[in-house]
Amino acid sequence: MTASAPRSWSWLLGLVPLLGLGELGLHQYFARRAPGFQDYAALAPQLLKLKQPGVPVVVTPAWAEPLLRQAAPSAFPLEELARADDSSFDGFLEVSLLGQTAPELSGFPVERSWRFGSFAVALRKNPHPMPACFDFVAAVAAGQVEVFSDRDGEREMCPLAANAHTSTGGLHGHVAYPRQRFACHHGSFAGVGLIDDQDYRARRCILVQPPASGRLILRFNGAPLFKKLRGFAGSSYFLERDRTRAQVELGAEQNGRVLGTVRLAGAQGWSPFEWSATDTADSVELSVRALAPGPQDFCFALEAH
Amino acid sequence: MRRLLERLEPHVDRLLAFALGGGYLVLLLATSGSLGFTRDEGFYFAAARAYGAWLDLLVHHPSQALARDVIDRYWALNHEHPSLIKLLFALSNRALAAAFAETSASFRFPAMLLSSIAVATTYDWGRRRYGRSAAVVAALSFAFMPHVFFHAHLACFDLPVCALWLVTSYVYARSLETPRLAWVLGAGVAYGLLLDTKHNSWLFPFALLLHFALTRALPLLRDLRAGRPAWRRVPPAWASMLLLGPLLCFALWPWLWHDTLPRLREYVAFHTGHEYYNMEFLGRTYWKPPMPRGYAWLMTLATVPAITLLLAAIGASVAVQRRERRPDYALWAVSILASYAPWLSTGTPIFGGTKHWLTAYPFLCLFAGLGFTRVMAAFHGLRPRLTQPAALMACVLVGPVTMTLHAHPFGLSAYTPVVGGAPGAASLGLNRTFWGYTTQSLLPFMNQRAPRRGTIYVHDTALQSFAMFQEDARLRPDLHGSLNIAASDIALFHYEPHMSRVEQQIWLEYNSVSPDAIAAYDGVPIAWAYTRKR
Repeated sequence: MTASAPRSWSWLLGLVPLLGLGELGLHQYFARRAPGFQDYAALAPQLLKLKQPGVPVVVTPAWAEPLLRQAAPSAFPLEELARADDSSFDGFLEVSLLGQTAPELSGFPVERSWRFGSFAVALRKNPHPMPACFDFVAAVAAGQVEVFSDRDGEREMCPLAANAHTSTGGLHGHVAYPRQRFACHHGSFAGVGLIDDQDYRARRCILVQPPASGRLILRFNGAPLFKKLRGFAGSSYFLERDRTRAQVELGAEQNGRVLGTVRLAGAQGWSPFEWSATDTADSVELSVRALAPGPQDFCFALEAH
Repeated sequence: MRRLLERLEPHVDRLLAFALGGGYLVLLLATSGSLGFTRDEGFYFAAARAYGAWLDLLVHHPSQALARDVIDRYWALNHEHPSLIKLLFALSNRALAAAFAETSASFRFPAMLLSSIAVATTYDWGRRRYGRSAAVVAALSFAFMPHVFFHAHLACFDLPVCALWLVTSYVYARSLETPRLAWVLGAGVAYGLLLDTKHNSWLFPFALLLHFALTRALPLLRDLRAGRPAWRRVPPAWASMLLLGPLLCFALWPWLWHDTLPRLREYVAFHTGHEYYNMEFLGRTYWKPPMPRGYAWLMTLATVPAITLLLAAIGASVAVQRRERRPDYALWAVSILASYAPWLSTGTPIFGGTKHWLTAYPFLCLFAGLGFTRVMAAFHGLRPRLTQPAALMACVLVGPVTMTLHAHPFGLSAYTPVVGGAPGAASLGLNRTFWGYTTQSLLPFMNQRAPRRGTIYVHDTALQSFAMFQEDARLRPDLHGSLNIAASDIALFHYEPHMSRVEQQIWLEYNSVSPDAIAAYDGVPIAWAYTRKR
C-alpha cells in the first residue's frame, strides 16, 4: 500500500533518500575528523620543544587534553595544570584542534603560531600578567611553613609527616589527603592538595582540615615585602555544593594586624579574594577556623604581589 | 521454485517478522561479548541470582520458600524495581547458562529477546497499517537507533519496558479492532507484565485515557445526549487491564505478597522522590531542579538518526491528513506524548540520558514507516528501477545501520551528525558516557599490564559488574576490584565532569597526570586508566 503525494511538494519528498545518504556521508566525516592517538604522539616532541617552564599548555577543546597528557606528560606539570588562575602567568601555549580556540585565552594576543598536522599551536601572551613575589602554595609544598593548632591561645606544633598514610575518598568520598602534610595530633592537618572547582576543574591549593574547635595556624616566615595578597578559596564543589552557609573562615595577620578574613560556603565554589598588606616585611600568619560542625576539607591558594 | 514461493506467500509476513526479530537477536548475541557491563547490570545480576536461589527453594522446599521471612530475605534485594525482568534473567541463567559462551549472555538474553520481539511487533503493526516495505523501514529504523541497540543488549529494564509498552499497545489496538476475548484478555495480561517491568507503566493509563478522549469522546457525548448507554463506548480491554494487570503484577512479585500496601507505597515513593544524579547537558552539570526543559527533545535530536526523525515527521503529517486508521495513529501519538511527558516538568530527573523515553521510539518509527510510504509514492512510476522500494529502503536505512554498528561498544557516546558526531557533542558539553560500562575497552590493557594479584580501582563500574568480567573470562581472575584508589595498582576513570574529583585523587595518589591507556570513540576520550609507578 502506498500513499499518494500531493504534486505540489512531492518533489521535495524525492530528496529524502538523498538526505539519508547525506547523513551517512556526514557521519563518516565526523567519525574521522578528530585526530587519533598517532597524531598526538607525532605532536608530542614538537610541543615539548616549544614548552617553556611557567607557560602552561591549554588544550582546546578541553576534552582532548587527556590524549595530549598521555602523549606528552612533561608538558603538564601539576602546578600548571591545576593552577589557581591564569593571571600570574606570562603566557600560554594553546594547542587547538578542529578549529577551536580556548575562550579563556581570547583576550591574550597570539605572539607566534605553528601548525603540526591536525593541530594549531599558538603562544599567547598575557597582556597584563601579575607575577607573584611569593607563592604560599609553593612554600607549603617545600615545607617552608610552620603549622600549629591553636585552642584558646595555646599553640601546639603540627609536625611535617613526609610520608603519611594517604587517604582517597573515591567516588563519593573526600578529596585525596596528601602524603606529605603537617599533621596535628588531634587529626587536623595542612598540606598541598587538589580540589574541584565549580566547573569540576582541578585547583592546586593548601588543603586544610581545621580542628573542630580552635584554629589551624600556618606561619610563613619567608614572605618578602608585598603590597597585597590575592587568593582563591573553596571546598570540593562536588561534595559541598549544596552548602550555602559559611563553613570555614580564613584569616591573615601580619605584625598583629589583621589583613583580612574571608568566610566561605561550599556552594560558592572556587572564590577569589584580595587583601592589602602592611608596609613591612614580616612573617604572615594564616588561620583557618571551622564554622560548621563535622570535618571540613577546605583549600586555598594565595600569592603575595 | 515458483510453487514454493506461492506456498510461502501467505506466510511471508510471519516469516519476515520472525526473520527481523530473529536476526536482531542473533546480532545482539553476537555483539554482547564486546559490550561491557553497566553499573546497574551488576546490581541486577546479583538480584537475579538471589531470585534464582529462591526459585530453587520453591521447587525443592515450597513451604519453606513461601514463608514470609524467606521471601523477604531473597526478594528484599533491589525491591525498588519490579520483579518480572529479573525473574526472567534468573530463569534464563538457570536454564540457558550452558548454551552460551558467557554467563552474562544468559542474564542478558531475556532483554535481548524482548528487544527482538519489539522489532518484530513494530514490523507487524506497520505491515498491517501500510504494507511490507514501509514496515521493514519502521522495524529496522527502531532496531538501528544507536542508543536502542546499546540498551537492547543489557540486563536492564529499559528495552524490556519499551517492548512491553509496544506489545501492550499492539494487543490493545487489536482488541479495539476485533474485540475477541483473546485480545481483550491479552491486553490485561500484557499490561500486568508491563506493570511488573518498570514504573514507566504508570504512564500507560494516561496514554489510553488521552487516546479514548481523542477517538471516542465525541461519539460518547452523542450517546449521552441521545440517552444511549455510554458504557458501550468503553473498550472492554479496560476492564481486563484494570483487573488482570494488577493481579498478575502482584502474583509475579513476591516482595508484595506481605505488607502489600506499605511496600507499594514505598515503591511509588522511591520513584516519585528519586534522587537527582548528575548529568551533563550543554556544558553544565545538573544535579538538582530545575532541570532543562529542552533536555529530552535535544537529546532525541542529537542521538536519533535525522533520517528517521524526518520520516517520522512526514509520517505524522500524513497521519493528521488521513481519515482511516486514526485510532492506531492516535495510539502511536499518545504513546510518544506520554513517554516524553515527564520531561515537560523541570522537576523530572535527567540522569538516565535517553533511556527513560525509549518507550516512544517504536512509535516514532511506526510514523517513520508511514512517512516512507509517502516517499515511495513520490517515486511511484519513475524509472529507472533504482527508485524501487528496495533502493529507497537502502537509502533511508544505510545511515542508521552504519551509525549504530559503528557506535558499538560505545553506545552511550554515539551522537548524530546534527551535533557533529561524538567530537561535536563533546565540544557542546553533552554527556560522553555514564554507568561505567566502558571498562570493557580497557580490559586488554589491564590483562596485559596489571601486576599478578593486582588491585584495580573500578571507579564507576559496580564491583558485581567487575566480577562478571572475570566470570566471563574477559578479565584475569587473579585481579581484585576495589573502591579504594590508595590500595590500587591500576586506577580507572570514566569521564563525567562531576567525577573529575576522582581523577584528581588518582593524580595525587599515583603522582602522575598522564593516563597509560585511553579508550576513545571517534577521537574523543571516554575512559582511561592510570598505572601506579613503583
